[in-house]
Amino acid sequence: MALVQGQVGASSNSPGSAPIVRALYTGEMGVADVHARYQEAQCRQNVYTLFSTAQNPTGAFPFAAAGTPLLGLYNPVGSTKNLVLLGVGLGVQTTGTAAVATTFGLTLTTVLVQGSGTKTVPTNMYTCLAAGSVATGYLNTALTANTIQNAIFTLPIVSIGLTTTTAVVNAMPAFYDVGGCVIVAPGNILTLGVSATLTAAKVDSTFIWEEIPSAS
Amino acid sequence: MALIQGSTGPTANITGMAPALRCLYSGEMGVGRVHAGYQEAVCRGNVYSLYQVGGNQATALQFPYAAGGKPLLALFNPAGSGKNMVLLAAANALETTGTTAQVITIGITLTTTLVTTTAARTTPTNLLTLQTTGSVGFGVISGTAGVALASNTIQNSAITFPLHSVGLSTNATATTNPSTSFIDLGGLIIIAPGNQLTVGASAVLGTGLIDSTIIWEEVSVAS
Repeated sequence: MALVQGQVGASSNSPGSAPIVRALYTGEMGVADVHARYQEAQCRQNVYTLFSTAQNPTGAFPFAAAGTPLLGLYNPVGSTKNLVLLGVGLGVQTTGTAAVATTFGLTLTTVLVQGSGTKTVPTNMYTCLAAGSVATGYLNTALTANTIQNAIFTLPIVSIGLTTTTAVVNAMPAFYDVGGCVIVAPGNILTLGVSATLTAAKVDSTFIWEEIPSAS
Repeated sequence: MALIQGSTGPTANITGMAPALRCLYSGEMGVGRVHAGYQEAVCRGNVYSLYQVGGNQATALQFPYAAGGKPLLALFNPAGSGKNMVLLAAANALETTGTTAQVITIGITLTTTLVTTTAARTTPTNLLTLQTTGSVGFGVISGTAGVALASNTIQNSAITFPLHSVGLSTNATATTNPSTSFIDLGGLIIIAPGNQLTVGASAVLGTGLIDSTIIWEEVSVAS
Protein backbone atom coordinates (compact mmCIF):
# COMPACT_ATOMS: atom_id res chain seq x y z
CA MET A 1 0.00 0.00 0.00
CA ALA A 2 1.11 3.51 -0.75
CA LEU A 3 2.01 5.70 2.20
CA VAL A 4 0.73 9.21 1.62
CA GLN A 5 3.07 12.04 2.41
CA GLY A 6 2.68 15.77 2.40
CA GLN A 7 5.13 18.61 2.80
CA VAL A 8 5.24 20.91 5.79
CA GLY A 9 4.87 24.62 5.09
CA ALA A 10 3.10 26.84 2.63
CA SER A 11 3.92 26.75 -1.08
CA SER A 12 3.18 29.25 -3.82
CA ASN A 13 1.36 27.89 -6.84
CA SER A 14 -0.47 29.04 -9.94
CA PRO A 15 -3.45 27.47 -11.76
CA GLY A 16 -2.41 24.25 -13.46
CA SER A 17 0.57 23.53 -11.21
CA ALA A 18 0.63 20.30 -9.20
CA PRO A 19 2.01 21.07 -5.73
CA ILE A 20 2.73 18.52 -3.04
CA VAL A 21 -0.17 18.46 -0.60
CA ARG A 22 0.51 20.55 2.49
CA ALA A 23 1.15 18.87 5.82
CA LEU A 24 1.08 20.64 9.18
CA TYR A 25 3.73 20.61 11.87
CA THR A 26 2.22 17.60 13.64
CA GLY A 27 1.58 15.61 10.47
CA GLU A 28 -2.05 16.41 9.65
CA MET A 29 -3.14 17.24 6.15
CA GLY A 30 -3.59 20.99 5.82
CA VAL A 31 -7.03 21.85 4.46
CA ALA A 32 -8.92 25.04 3.71
CA ASP A 33 -12.51 25.67 2.69
CA VAL A 34 -13.10 26.47 -0.96
CA HIS A 35 -16.80 27.29 -0.68
CA ALA A 36 -19.40 28.10 1.94
CA ARG A 37 -20.26 24.96 3.87
CA TYR A 38 -23.81 24.59 2.56
CA GLN A 39 -23.15 25.65 -1.04
CA GLU A 40 -22.77 22.13 -2.46
CA ALA A 41 -26.01 20.92 -0.84
CA GLN A 42 -27.86 23.95 -2.16
CA CYS A 43 -26.46 23.68 -5.68
CA ARG A 44 -27.49 20.00 -5.85
CA GLN A 45 -31.00 21.32 -5.18
CA ASN A 46 -31.53 18.94 -2.27
CA VAL A 47 -32.28 21.64 0.30
CA TYR A 48 -35.85 22.47 1.26
CA THR A 49 -37.62 24.83 3.61
CA LEU A 50 -40.82 25.17 5.56
CA PHE A 51 -41.72 28.57 6.96
CA SER A 52 -44.43 30.79 8.38
CA THR A 53 -44.68 34.34 9.65
CA ALA A 54 -46.61 36.18 12.36
CA GLN A 55 -48.10 33.06 13.95
CA ASN A 56 -49.39 32.75 17.52
CA PRO A 57 -47.93 29.58 19.11
CA THR A 58 -50.10 27.35 21.27
CA GLY A 59 -47.71 25.21 23.24
CA ALA A 60 -46.22 22.01 21.81
CA PHE A 61 -42.82 22.13 23.48
CA PRO A 62 -42.31 19.36 24.33
CA PHE A 63 -44.63 18.13 21.62
CA ALA A 64 -47.41 15.73 22.61
CA ALA A 65 -49.72 13.81 20.30
CA ALA A 66 -52.46 16.01 18.84
CA GLY A 67 -50.49 19.15 19.67
CA THR A 68 -50.31 22.26 17.52
CA PRO A 69 -46.67 23.12 16.82
CA LEU A 70 -45.58 26.25 14.97
CA LEU A 71 -43.88 24.00 12.43
CA GLY A 72 -44.18 20.26 11.94
CA LEU A 73 -41.91 18.35 9.56
CA TYR A 74 -42.87 14.75 8.90
CA ASN A 75 -40.71 12.23 7.04
CA PRO A 76 -43.01 9.44 5.83
CA VAL A 77 -42.15 5.81 6.46
CA GLY A 78 -40.50 4.36 3.36
CA SER A 79 -39.33 7.70 1.98
CA THR A 80 -35.76 6.35 1.81
CA LYS A 81 -34.49 9.83 2.64
CA ASN A 82 -33.11 11.35 5.80
CA LEU A 83 -33.95 14.99 6.48
CA VAL A 84 -30.77 16.62 7.79
CA LEU A 85 -31.65 19.81 9.65
CA LEU A 86 -29.27 22.62 8.70
CA GLY A 87 -30.82 25.77 10.16
CA VAL A 88 -33.71 27.06 12.23
CA GLY A 89 -35.08 30.58 12.07
CA LEU A 90 -37.15 31.86 14.97
CA GLY A 91 -38.08 35.54 15.05
CA VAL A 92 -40.24 36.89 17.85
CA GLN A 93 -42.05 40.03 16.70
CA THR A 94 -44.00 40.11 19.95
CA THR A 95 -44.83 37.72 22.76
CA GLY A 96 -48.31 39.22 22.89
CA THR A 97 -50.47 39.69 25.98
CA ALA A 98 -50.15 36.52 28.06
CA ALA A 99 -47.99 36.56 31.20
CA VAL A 100 -46.37 33.12 31.00
CA ALA A 101 -42.86 31.66 31.27
CA THR A 102 -41.67 30.52 27.87
CA THR A 103 -39.04 28.61 25.93
CA PHE A 104 -39.11 27.77 22.23
CA GLY A 105 -37.73 24.39 21.25
CA LEU A 106 -37.63 21.36 18.97
CA THR A 107 -39.12 17.95 19.61
CA LEU A 108 -38.13 14.92 17.55
CA THR A 109 -40.16 11.75 17.82
CA THR A 110 -41.55 8.76 15.96
CA VAL A 111 -45.20 8.66 15.00
CA LEU A 112 -47.35 5.70 14.07
CA VAL A 113 -49.80 7.65 11.97
CA GLN A 114 -49.31 10.78 9.95
CA GLY A 115 -51.14 13.81 11.28
CA SER A 116 -54.44 14.70 9.66
CA GLY A 117 -53.90 18.46 9.86
CA THR A 118 -53.66 20.67 6.79
CA LYS A 119 -50.50 19.71 4.92
CA THR A 120 -48.00 22.13 3.35
CA VAL A 121 -45.61 21.08 0.59
CA PRO A 122 -42.02 22.18 1.39
CA THR A 123 -40.29 24.65 -0.92
CA ASN A 124 -36.99 23.96 -2.67
CA MET A 125 -34.48 26.58 -1.54
CA TYR A 126 -32.79 26.84 -4.94
CA THR A 127 -35.74 26.89 -7.32
CA CYS A 128 -38.28 28.52 -4.98
CA LEU A 129 -40.75 25.89 -6.19
CA ALA A 130 -42.96 23.87 -3.84
CA ALA A 131 -41.96 20.54 -5.36
CA GLY A 132 -39.49 17.70 -4.97
CA SER A 133 -39.45 17.05 -1.22
CA VAL A 134 -40.37 13.68 0.25
CA ALA A 135 -41.55 15.42 3.41
CA THR A 136 -44.86 16.79 4.61
CA GLY A 137 -45.11 20.07 6.46
CA TYR A 138 -47.60 21.49 8.94
CA LEU A 139 -47.87 25.19 9.71
CA ASN A 140 -49.38 25.90 13.14
CA THR A 141 -52.03 23.24 12.68
CA ALA A 142 -53.24 20.52 15.04
CA LEU A 143 -51.76 17.12 14.24
CA THR A 144 -54.93 15.34 15.22
CA ALA A 145 -54.31 11.79 14.09
CA ASN A 146 -50.68 11.24 14.93
CA THR A 147 -49.63 8.94 17.72
CA ILE A 148 -46.22 9.10 19.37
CA GLN A 149 -44.52 5.73 19.32
CA ASN A 150 -41.03 6.12 20.71
CA ALA A 151 -39.27 8.35 23.21
CA ILE A 152 -39.08 11.99 22.33
CA PHE A 153 -35.97 14.11 22.08
CA THR A 154 -36.17 17.80 22.99
CA LEU A 155 -33.81 20.65 22.13
CA PRO A 156 -34.49 24.20 23.36
CA ILE A 157 -33.71 26.91 20.80
CA VAL A 158 -34.57 30.22 22.46
CA SER A 159 -35.19 31.28 26.06
CA ILE A 160 -37.76 34.01 26.54
CA GLY A 161 -38.49 33.84 30.26
CA LEU A 162 -41.52 35.65 31.53
CA THR A 163 -43.71 37.37 29.00
CA THR A 164 -45.87 40.25 30.16
CA THR A 165 -49.33 41.49 29.32
CA THR A 166 -47.75 44.12 27.11
CA ALA A 167 -45.11 43.56 24.48
CA VAL A 168 -41.52 44.32 25.45
CA VAL A 169 -38.19 44.63 23.68
CA ASN A 170 -36.63 41.20 23.11
CA ALA A 171 -33.76 41.85 20.72
CA MET A 172 -31.83 38.72 19.74
CA PRO A 173 -30.57 36.85 16.69
CA ALA A 174 -33.22 34.77 14.95
CA PHE A 175 -31.04 32.31 13.02
CA TYR A 176 -29.55 29.12 14.46
CA ASP A 177 -27.09 26.93 12.56
CA VAL A 178 -27.92 23.39 13.62
CA GLY A 179 -25.33 21.80 11.30
CA GLY A 180 -27.08 18.46 10.90
CA CYS A 181 -27.11 17.50 14.59
CA VAL A 182 -30.83 16.77 14.23
CA ILE A 183 -31.90 14.28 11.55
CA VAL A 184 -35.50 13.39 10.82
CA ALA A 185 -35.40 9.72 9.80
CA PRO A 186 -38.26 8.06 7.87
CA GLY A 187 -41.26 7.71 10.17
CA ASN A 188 -40.20 10.58 12.42
CA ILE A 189 -41.58 14.05 12.92
CA LEU A 190 -39.80 17.23 14.01
CA THR A 191 -41.82 19.99 15.63
CA LEU A 192 -41.10 23.53 16.78
CA GLY A 193 -43.20 24.71 19.67
CA VAL A 194 -43.35 26.87 22.76
CA SER A 195 -43.56 25.75 26.39
CA ALA A 196 -46.68 27.81 27.14
CA THR A 197 -49.54 29.06 25.04
CA LEU A 198 -49.17 32.70 24.06
CA THR A 199 -51.93 35.14 23.26
CA ALA A 200 -51.80 37.59 20.34
CA ALA A 201 -48.12 36.75 19.79
CA LYS A 202 -46.43 37.03 16.39
CA VAL A 203 -43.67 34.53 15.73
CA ASP A 204 -41.79 33.92 12.45
CA SER A 205 -40.30 30.46 12.03
CA THR A 206 -38.33 28.55 9.40
CA PHE A 207 -36.82 25.07 9.03
CA ILE A 208 -34.13 24.41 6.42
CA TRP A 209 -32.97 20.85 5.75
CA GLU A 210 -31.15 18.69 3.21
CA GLU A 211 -32.67 15.45 1.92
CA ILE A 212 -30.18 12.65 1.42
CA PRO A 213 -30.62 8.92 0.74
CA SER A 214 -31.02 6.95 3.96
CA ALA A 215 -28.06 4.74 3.03
CA SER A 216 -25.61 7.62 2.55
CA MET B 1 -6.64 0.48 -7.05
CA ALA B 2 -3.97 1.70 -4.73
CA LEU B 3 -4.86 1.78 -1.05
CA ILE B 4 -3.69 4.86 0.74
CA GLN B 5 -2.09 4.74 4.15
CA GLY B 6 -1.32 7.38 6.71
CA SER B 7 0.43 7.24 10.04
CA THR B 8 -1.54 7.29 13.31
CA GLY B 9 -0.58 9.83 15.91
CA PRO B 10 1.13 13.21 15.85
CA THR B 11 4.60 13.69 14.43
CA ALA B 12 7.01 16.58 14.97
CA ASN B 13 8.04 18.29 11.74
CA ILE B 14 9.56 21.50 10.47
CA THR B 15 9.04 23.43 7.26
CA GLY B 16 10.23 21.49 4.22
CA MET B 17 9.89 18.04 5.75
CA ALA B 18 7.68 15.43 4.08
CA PRO B 19 5.91 13.50 6.84
CA ALA B 20 3.48 10.67 6.31
CA LEU B 21 0.06 12.26 6.62
CA ARG B 22 -1.60 11.74 9.96
CA CYS B 23 -4.37 9.24 10.52
CA LEU B 24 -6.65 9.19 13.52
CA TYR B 25 -7.22 6.22 15.82
CA SER B 26 -10.25 4.99 13.89
CA GLY B 27 -8.59 5.42 10.47
CA GLU B 28 -9.73 8.85 9.33
CA MET B 29 -7.35 11.29 7.72
CA GLY B 30 -6.36 13.90 10.27
CA VAL B 31 -6.79 17.41 8.96
CA GLY B 32 -6.15 20.87 10.32
CA ARG B 33 -7.70 24.06 9.00
CA VAL B 34 -5.07 26.34 7.56
CA HIS B 35 -7.06 29.49 6.81
CA ALA B 36 -10.16 31.35 7.90
CA GLY B 37 -13.38 29.93 6.55
CA TYR B 38 -13.96 32.43 3.74
CA GLN B 39 -10.37 33.51 3.04
CA GLU B 40 -10.03 31.55 -0.21
CA ALA B 41 -13.31 32.89 -1.55
CA VAL B 42 -12.40 36.50 -0.76
CA CYS B 43 -8.85 36.13 -2.09
CA ARG B 44 -10.17 34.78 -5.39
CA GLY B 45 -11.97 38.08 -5.74
CA ASN B 46 -15.43 36.52 -5.96
CA VAL B 47 -16.99 37.93 -2.78
CA TYR B 48 -19.20 41.00 -2.89
CA SER B 49 -21.21 43.09 -0.48
CA LEU B 50 -24.19 45.39 -0.41
CA TYR B 51 -24.60 47.60 2.63
CA GLN B 52 -26.00 50.76 4.10
CA VAL B 53 -25.80 52.58 7.42
CA GLY B 54 -28.78 54.31 8.98
CA GLY B 55 -31.40 52.96 6.59
CA ASN B 56 -35.12 52.65 7.19
CA GLN B 57 -37.87 51.11 5.18
CA ALA B 58 -40.68 53.48 4.34
CA THR B 59 -43.57 51.06 3.85
CA ALA B 60 -44.83 48.50 6.30
CA LEU B 61 -44.35 44.77 6.20
CA GLN B 62 -41.34 44.19 3.96
CA PHE B 63 -40.84 40.93 5.81
CA PRO B 64 -42.32 38.99 4.10
CA TYR B 65 -41.60 40.98 0.98
CA ALA B 66 -44.45 41.71 -1.45
CA ALA B 67 -44.12 42.94 -5.04
CA GLY B 68 -43.69 46.69 -5.24
CA GLY B 69 -42.40 47.00 -1.69
CA LYS B 70 -39.55 49.06 -0.24
CA PRO B 71 -37.15 46.70 1.56
CA LEU B 72 -34.00 47.76 3.43
CA LEU B 73 -31.79 45.93 0.93
CA ALA B 74 -32.59 44.11 -2.29
CA LEU B 75 -30.18 41.99 -4.32
CA PHE B 76 -31.01 40.79 -7.83
CA ASN B 77 -29.36 37.99 -9.80
CA PRO B 78 -30.40 38.56 -13.41
CA ALA B 79 -31.69 35.61 -15.44
CA GLY B 80 -28.88 34.25 -17.61
CA SER B 81 -26.09 35.59 -15.39
CA GLY B 82 -24.43 32.18 -15.28
CA LYS B 83 -23.63 32.70 -11.60
CA ASN B 84 -25.13 31.62 -8.31
CA MET B 85 -24.92 34.08 -5.44
CA VAL B 86 -24.02 32.12 -2.32
CA LEU B 87 -24.98 34.10 0.77
CA LEU B 88 -22.17 33.92 3.32
CA ALA B 89 -23.37 36.33 5.99
CA ALA B 90 -25.98 38.91 6.89
CA ALA B 91 -25.88 41.63 9.51
CA ASN B 92 -28.58 43.97 10.75
CA ALA B 93 -27.91 46.35 13.61
CA LEU B 94 -30.49 48.60 15.23
CA GLU B 95 -29.04 52.01 15.97
CA THR B 96 -32.49 52.94 17.17
CA THR B 97 -36.02 51.73 16.71
CA GLY B 98 -37.06 55.39 16.65
CA THR B 99 -40.35 56.72 17.93
CA THR B 100 -42.93 54.36 16.49
CA ALA B 101 -44.56 51.66 18.61
CA GLN B 102 -44.33 48.50 16.54
CA VAL B 103 -43.54 44.86 17.02
CA ILE B 104 -40.73 43.82 14.72
CA THR B 105 -38.74 41.04 13.17
CA ILE B 106 -36.08 41.62 10.51
CA GLY B 107 -35.79 38.86 7.94
CA ILE B 108 -34.95 37.68 4.44
CA THR B 109 -37.37 36.89 1.64
CA LEU B 110 -36.11 34.89 -1.34
CA THR B 111 -38.21 34.64 -4.45
CA THR B 112 -38.23 34.53 -8.21
CA THR B 113 -39.07 37.65 -10.17
CA LEU B 114 -40.22 37.86 -13.75
CA VAL B 115 -39.07 41.42 -14.25
CA THR B 116 -36.14 43.17 -12.62
CA THR B 117 -36.80 46.45 -10.93
CA THR B 118 -36.66 49.88 -12.53
CA ALA B 119 -35.54 51.49 -9.26
CA ALA B 120 -32.18 53.23 -8.90
CA ARG B 121 -29.54 50.55 -8.72
CA THR B 122 -26.50 50.20 -6.48
CA THR B 123 -23.52 48.29 -7.80
CA PRO B 124 -22.17 45.75 -5.27
CA THR B 125 -18.68 46.23 -3.83
CA ASN B 126 -15.94 43.62 -4.19
CA LEU B 127 -14.63 42.77 -0.72
CA LEU B 128 -11.05 42.25 -1.92
CA THR B 129 -10.58 45.30 -4.13
CA LEU B 130 -13.28 47.53 -2.55
CA GLN B 131 -14.18 48.47 -6.12
CA THR B 132 -17.79 48.58 -7.29
CA THR B 133 -17.10 46.37 -10.28
CA GLY B 134 -17.27 42.72 -11.20
CA SER B 135 -20.57 41.53 -9.76
CA VAL B 136 -23.17 40.04 -12.08
CA GLY B 137 -25.92 41.35 -9.80
CA PHE B 138 -27.22 44.66 -8.68
CA GLY B 139 -28.71 46.03 -5.51
CA VAL B 140 -31.28 48.51 -4.31
CA ILE B 141 -30.86 50.19 -0.93
CA SER B 142 -33.61 51.96 0.95
CA GLY B 143 -31.97 55.04 2.44
CA THR B 144 -34.34 56.57 4.97
CA ALA B 145 -37.16 57.21 2.50
CA GLY B 146 -37.25 53.77 0.89
CA VAL B 147 -37.04 52.84 -2.77
CA ALA B 148 -39.94 50.98 -4.36
CA LEU B 149 -39.12 47.97 -6.50
CA ALA B 150 -41.86 49.15 -8.78
CA SER B 151 -41.87 46.74 -11.68
CA ASN B 152 -40.89 43.43 -10.20
CA THR B 153 -43.38 40.59 -10.16
CA ILE B 154 -43.16 37.57 -7.90
CA GLN B 155 -43.43 34.35 -9.87
CA ASN B 156 -42.73 31.45 -7.53
CA SER B 157 -42.99 30.86 -3.81
CA ALA B 158 -41.51 33.50 -1.55
CA ILE B 159 -39.30 31.87 1.08
CA THR B 160 -39.04 33.73 4.37
CA PHE B 161 -36.27 33.44 6.92
CA PRO B 162 -36.13 35.55 10.11
CA LEU B 163 -32.72 36.97 11.00
CA HIS B 164 -33.33 39.16 14.05
CA SER B 165 -36.02 39.49 16.68
CA VAL B 166 -36.59 42.99 17.92
CA GLY B 167 -39.88 42.81 19.75
CA LEU B 168 -41.54 46.04 20.74
CA SER B 169 -40.29 49.45 19.76
CA THR B 170 -41.78 52.21 21.86
CA ASN B 171 -43.52 55.32 20.66
CA ALA B 172 -41.80 57.83 22.91
CA THR B 173 -38.10 57.12 23.28
CA ALA B 174 -35.64 54.63 21.93
CA THR B 175 -34.85 51.77 24.28
CA THR B 176 -31.89 49.55 24.97
CA ASN B 177 -31.81 46.65 22.55
CA PRO B 178 -28.38 44.98 22.65
CA SER B 179 -28.14 42.04 20.29
CA THR B 180 -25.64 40.30 18.06
CA SER B 181 -26.05 41.63 14.53
CA PHE B 182 -23.73 39.41 12.45
CA ILE B 183 -25.00 36.01 11.34
CA ASP B 184 -22.84 33.46 9.50
CA LEU B 185 -25.16 31.80 6.99
CA GLY B 186 -22.55 29.53 5.40
CA GLY B 187 -24.24 29.35 2.01
CA LEU B 188 -27.57 28.24 3.42
CA ILE B 189 -29.30 30.66 1.05
CA ILE B 190 -28.40 30.84 -2.65
CA ILE B 191 -29.78 33.39 -5.07
CA ALA B 192 -30.06 31.56 -8.37
CA PRO B 193 -30.26 33.45 -11.70
CA GLY B 194 -33.66 35.10 -11.98
CA ASN B 195 -34.13 35.31 -8.22
CA GLN B 196 -34.07 38.21 -5.79
CA LEU B 197 -33.32 38.47 -2.10
CA THR B 198 -34.70 41.21 0.10
CA VAL B 199 -34.00 42.21 3.69
CA GLY B 200 -36.91 43.88 5.41
CA ALA B 201 -38.74 44.43 8.67
CA SER B 202 -42.19 43.19 9.62
CA ALA B 203 -43.36 46.77 10.29
CA VAL B 204 -42.19 50.25 9.40
CA LEU B 205 -40.22 52.23 11.97
CA GLY B 206 -40.95 55.93 11.70
CA THR B 207 -37.52 57.28 12.53
CA GLY B 208 -35.69 54.01 12.96
CA LEU B 209 -32.06 53.65 11.92
CA ILE B 210 -30.94 50.21 10.81
CA ASP B 211 -27.47 49.25 9.55
CA SER B 212 -27.63 46.37 7.07
CA THR B 213 -25.03 44.34 5.20
CA ILE B 214 -25.15 41.19 3.12
CA ILE B 215 -22.05 39.35 1.87
CA TRP B 216 -22.05 36.71 -0.85
CA GLU B 217 -19.78 34.72 -3.16
CA GLU B 218 -20.49 34.49 -6.88
CA VAL B 219 -19.79 31.05 -8.33
CA SER B 220 -20.50 29.51 -11.71
CA VAL B 221 -23.90 27.82 -11.90
CA ALA B 222 -22.17 24.61 -12.94
CA SER B 223 -19.81 24.54 -9.95
